[in-house]
Order: sequence, then C-alpha cells, then structure tokens
Amino acid sequence: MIKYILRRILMMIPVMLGVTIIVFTMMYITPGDPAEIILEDGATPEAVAELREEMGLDDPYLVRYFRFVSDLLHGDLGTCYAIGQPVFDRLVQTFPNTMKLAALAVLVSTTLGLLMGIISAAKQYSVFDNVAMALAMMGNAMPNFWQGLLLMLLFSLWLGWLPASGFSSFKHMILPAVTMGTSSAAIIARMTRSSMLEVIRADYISTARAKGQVEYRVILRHALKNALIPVVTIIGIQFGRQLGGAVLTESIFAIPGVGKMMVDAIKARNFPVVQGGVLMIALSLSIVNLLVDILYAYIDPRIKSQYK
Amino acid sequence: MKRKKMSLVSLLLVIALLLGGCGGTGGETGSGGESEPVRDTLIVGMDREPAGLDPTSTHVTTAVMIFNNIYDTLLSFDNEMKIQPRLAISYEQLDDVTYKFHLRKGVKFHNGEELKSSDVLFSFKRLYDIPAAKGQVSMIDPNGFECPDDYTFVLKTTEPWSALPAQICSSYLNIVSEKAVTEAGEDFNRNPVGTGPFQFVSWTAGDSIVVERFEDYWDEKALLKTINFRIITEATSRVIDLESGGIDIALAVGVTDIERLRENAATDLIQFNHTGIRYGAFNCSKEVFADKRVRQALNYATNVEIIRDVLYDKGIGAMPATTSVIPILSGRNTDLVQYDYDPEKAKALLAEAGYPDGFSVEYNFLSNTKNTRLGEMLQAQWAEVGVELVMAPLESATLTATLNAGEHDFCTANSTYALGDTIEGLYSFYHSSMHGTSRCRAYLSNPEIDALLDEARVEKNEDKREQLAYEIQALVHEEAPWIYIAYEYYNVGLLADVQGFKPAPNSAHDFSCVYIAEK
Repeated sequence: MIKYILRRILMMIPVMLGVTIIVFTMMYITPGDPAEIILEDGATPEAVAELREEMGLDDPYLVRYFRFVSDLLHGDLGTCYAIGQPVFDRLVQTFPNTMKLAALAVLVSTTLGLLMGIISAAKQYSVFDNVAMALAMMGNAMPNFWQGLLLMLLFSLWLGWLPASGFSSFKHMILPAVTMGTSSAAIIARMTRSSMLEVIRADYISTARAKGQVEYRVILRHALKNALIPVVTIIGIQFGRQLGGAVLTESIFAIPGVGKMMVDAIKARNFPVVQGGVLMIALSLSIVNLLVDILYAYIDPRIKSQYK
Repeated sequence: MKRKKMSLVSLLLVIALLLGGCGGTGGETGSGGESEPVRDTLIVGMDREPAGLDPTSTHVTTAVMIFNNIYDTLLSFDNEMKIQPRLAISYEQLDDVTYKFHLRKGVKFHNGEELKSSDVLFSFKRLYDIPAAKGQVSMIDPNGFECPDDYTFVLKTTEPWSALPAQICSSYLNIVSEKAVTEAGEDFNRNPVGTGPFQFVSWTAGDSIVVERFEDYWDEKALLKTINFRIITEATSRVIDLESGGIDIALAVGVTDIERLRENAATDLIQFNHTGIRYGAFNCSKEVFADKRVRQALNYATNVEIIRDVLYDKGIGAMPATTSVIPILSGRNTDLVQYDYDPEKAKALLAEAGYPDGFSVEYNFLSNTKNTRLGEMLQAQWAEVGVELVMAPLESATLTATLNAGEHDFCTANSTYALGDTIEGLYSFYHSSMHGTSRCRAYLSNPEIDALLDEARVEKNEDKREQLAYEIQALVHEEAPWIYIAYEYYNVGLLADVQGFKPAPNSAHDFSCVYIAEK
C-alpha cells in the first residue's frame, strides 16, 4: 500500500510537467497583450513595446517556457503583473479560502446527498423518493449564480439572518457553501440512490433481513458500505469541481479565492498568476484523487489487495 | 421518540448558537438604537480592485478614488471640473512653456516627513522611468524641473501646451514621499505614503483595502475614522449587500437597480454625469468607411432613441448624446443638427456612395449583455438599409489588441476624458497622430481637424479654446466617424444615514466630508 502511494506521488511529477506545458502554451497562444492591459487607456505603441521588452514578453516561446520551469524548480512561481506581489503569496492568501469553501460545500453536498439518496432507495417510489429526486433535479439544473442570488435575497435581504458577501467568519461561509453544495448534493443523491438500489436487491441483503436484522441496520451496515464505492468517486470528483469551479460563487459572494483570482488574471493576461493557480489546482486534484483511491481500500478490502 | 425530539432541539440550538455567536460583518455595523454611538467606520462596496496603490500603477476609477483620499496633487478638479489649488497654493505661467508652483507649507506625509519641493520633483521625475506612466509626462520636459527653494517648484513643457494645469490634476501626478518610495522600493505599491486625509492601513488582495483618518492632515480632518473599501465585483451582490446593511455605499450601481434604491426608504441613490461617452466608431481607415456618406448613412439608419430606451431602462441610466464633448466640460457645441433616424435618407446616401445593395461589416465588441443587445438592435436597424452587421464578440484583452491594431470595421466604446480637458479629449479621439492608441477608435484622418486641434492645444486664451472646440465638433459631426449613443450616468447607492458624499465626475470622490448621521 505504502509502495503504491509513493508510486502515485512520483507519477504526479510528469502530470504536473504536462500541466505546465499545457497552461503555458495556452496562455502563450491566446491573443491579447499583458503590456497593453497594464498600460490601460492612452498608452502609446512605444510605451507598450518598452514594457513588453522589460517583461520579457518578446522572447521566443521556448526561452520563456524554460525560464518559467527553471524558476518553478527554484520554488519561484513568478510575480503578479498586476500588483507586483509574488504569486506564491497570492496563492497563500486565496487558496485557503477556496479550500474552506470547497470543504464546506462537500460537507453540505455529502450530508444532503447521502441522506436523500439512502432514504429514497430505502423508500423507493414513495412520496419522499419522488419529491427528493425532483428536488435533486432542480438543484442540479439551477445555475449557481442564480441560486446564490436567490439565497442572498432570502437570507440576507428579507430575513436578515446572514451577511450577503465577504468571507471573514463562519456566518459568511454558510450561503456560498450551500450554493455550491446543493448542486453537487443532487448528483450525489442520485448516484447513492441508484447504487443503493442495486445493492438492496442482492441476495446477502435478503439474507440479512431473513436473519431478523432491523431495517436501518440492513441499510446502513450491509447495503450502504457496498454502495459507497461509486459514491466516493463522485464525491472526489465534486470536490475537484468545487476547487476549480468556484469562480461564480466566489464572484457573487465576493470571496477572495483562487477561482476569482484566476478569472481576473486570465482577463488581464496575468500569466504568472494563471500558471500558479492552475498548478495549485492540478496538484490539489491529484492529491484528492489519491485520497479517494486510498479511501477505496478502506471501504472495500478486496481493492486493497490490488494496490501493489 | 422523546430522544429524537431532544436531538432535534439540540441541533436547532447548536445552529442558533452558531448563527448568533459568529463574528459580525466587519466594522461597527450595529443595527442602530438610541444608546448606540454613531458609527465612524464606512464600508464602501466597489466594483473593481485597483492594480496597485502607487499612483503610477493604474488609473481605473476605483484606484483614482482611493488615491484621492491617500494622496494630494498640486492642483485638483472640484466637482464642477474647475481647477483648484491643493498642495500648491498658487501657480503662475512665466512664459509659453514655464510654470512656477508655490507649495503649501507645513504639509505632512503619513510617515511624518514634511512636504518639500524635492518630493514634488521626485514624484514627477520617477514617471519617466515607469513605462506605464511615462506617457503622462510626455508633454513635460524632463530637464526643465527646478526647485529654487523648499516651497517652490518650476517645470517646463516640451512645447506650448495649454492643458498643463489639467495634467497637473492627473492621478498619476499625486505627490509621494521620496523617503517612503526609496525605502519601500517596489513594495510601495502595496504600502503607499501620501499627504491625503486618510492613511493606508491594509490591503487584502481580492477582498478589501482599509484606510484610516490621518490626524495631521493639512486641511480639515476627515470626519470618518476608518474606511473599508470592499471589493464586490458583482453589481447585484453589491446592491443586495447595501440593502441588507452590509455596506454603506455601493459604487457603480446597475441601471436595473436605480428605481429600487430610489423607492427604498433606507437607501438613497445619487446619479451624476461622469467623464465618459458611449459611442459606436466606424474605422475610417477601412475602405468601406472611408467615404463619409457611408458613415452619415449609418448614423441616419440608427434609431439611437430606441437603443437608449432598451440599454438604459427607458433612458433613466443615461442622457442623450449629441456631440463628442460631455455635458460637464466647457466648449460643448450644442447647435449640431442631429442625424435623426431616417432609413430612406440612409439608403439614398449609400446608393450615392456606391453601395445601393449595402455591404457586410463586422462588429467587434466586449462580450457582455449590454453590447450584445446593442449589436442586435443595430443589426436589425441596419438590415433595413441593406447593411449586414456580423457580430464578433471578443473578451477584453483580445478586443484591445484588435482595436489598437485597427483591425476592426466597427466597434462600440465608452471613452473618458482622462485629463478632464475638452481639447485633449478631442485630440485623443480624432487627431491622426493618435491612430493605434487606445482612445482613437475611428482612425479619422482629416487635415483640417488636425490643424484646428494643433492650434487649440497651444492656445492659452480660454474663450478662443472654446471657440476652436466648437468648430472642431462641427467638423467632426460632418465627418460622422461616431454614432453618439449616450452620456452614461454613474450611479452610487448609499444607506440613508450616510451624509456628505459629493460625487466627483472624474471618480476622485472625496471621503473626508462623509459622515454617518445619528438615527
């Protein structure tokens, strides 16, 4: 198992290298000149040319790429074009916010999704099942920005219970976490339900019932554990989605996170920030994937034996 | 059953405690009440984060606003865009190119240093080394500075240039402390030191910038103790935050929220003209738009009134534009005969210009709802006269590159009069030497207009300048390089107890007089 984990960690190196090539090339070929954007209105072509030279933007592709990788290997992610702050510092400021938001959103989605999925499967075709699945479809179909605004109107403006924006206390985190969590909850609920339904029909469940086990023990002890593998996969994917895709939620609730920082950076062709942000998210996703794989082994010991 | 009920009650209690016990929303934002002290912290929701707090780093509106409260310029515009003394108590023009400024004595920087003419000299000279800012001093001679004593500063322009006093008001020319800049180096961008009514406290990237009252300010001390400029980029979120009391002022309120804020007793809305005009620009260097009859025809083919009604919620968000000069500036020509909507006249002019069957052109625009709607309306209106408008939305960086390269056929823009000067604005829009720069979108080349602009640029007599501006506008109007769409209002939403906020057309809002009234 340890060997497997070490191998997976080593495999992250070529993955991250691939990510550097892709993100660097994409930023390189995208039209738009960071020098022009920095100089804003009224810039003369001479000033733009001078700034381009100063920023090293006139150098050939390979020179710029190797400079980027070489700096990276020395632990230097570059300096933000916009505010002259090291990219690493910007990530240190923003990444914890995105992580907190993603973790809370996953907590909301997993709690809601598992509960709805389990009860729906246990009470298939009941009123609860139909209502829960209809809600799940709605949750999945509603765009985050719209849902976020509705929640803001209800809980901030009309009821006055929660702040509308910011991220300085737990109270500030509730609405964004619920906004992000509910759409994922819908997916987890549907996945849990179908996975549970498959397991519930298995012979060993009938055996457990025949032995006189109470229903909730049959469901939670015998059925759920075996139904969890695909659900854990989905939760892992959702967590990754939350890390990289929190842009809209971060914008609506004015949360200084990585997603919002990267969108602003892409618009401003702020190459170092985009590259640093993508690398950070890619690394986090790789780690989350590894954790999911490790979790499989604990849920299903048969899988553990395959990890060599 | 009893246990289940108890668990439910416990859960609700925990939630209630969490909601009730977690921190406030920042600042002293209480809900009011007789015994509560009046708040002295103001929270301002702004739409954009400045790229830096060094005045040479940017001139986006939110940055200009913060600079105006941290720094001072030698001269500055008042709210009627008239030039007033600030750090300079007076100035005199010694000859065609030489200006002498007499500095205020006893002015302190936030680091305790006293303002000297050497700081002014340093603030000007450093601009020549910063590519992003050197354009701002291109008309000022780098070898023409003198500091005869600690409170006198002399500069020379490279040639006679009547807009120099307006240039001195530019946010780029805010005066910085030489000592602070030298000590901080690049870090000055995040740790600014000026002489303004507020001093910098902190900047959390992507979240907020906090400033507090400077107790040794040379003029009347600010009424507020602290201002928290929060970055809330979504317009709707900003307004909801204002209405729910999370912030005190919401900048850049969207058109659709104007009426709601006006009707709400707890909020006020201030609407004012800022230094911008929205227009459509034909690229005159393209063959199809080289003939002014084609440009005039498309002006006639455009029903601007309908466009304004749709874009600005029945016109409440903007006023009709009739010339390129904005209402708050002098020398505005209000006698121009407008190209009123007349498709038949448009067709006749197109036929006369050799396009009886019309043509096809591309419309490059920043991809957003407003521009898309505008494009769709133009598409429908121009189709009536046989002109096909192909929508080509771009994101901002690509759009800037396309327009600066002059590759577009037609575009729309919202341009500002950065110097707050009529002639300088017209020069940047229409002078042929400005092709390829970011305010010149029409690529007009008219020697007569060029000559008049050159003449106006050196003219010292204000009346004569206004007369020249008047003539230039008439010529430009005849050339029809633009379709004037609107002078957009800038909308600011405030909680009703916020008093003393006076909006500045150039976004340099002064917060030193703002206070929160007792309820």
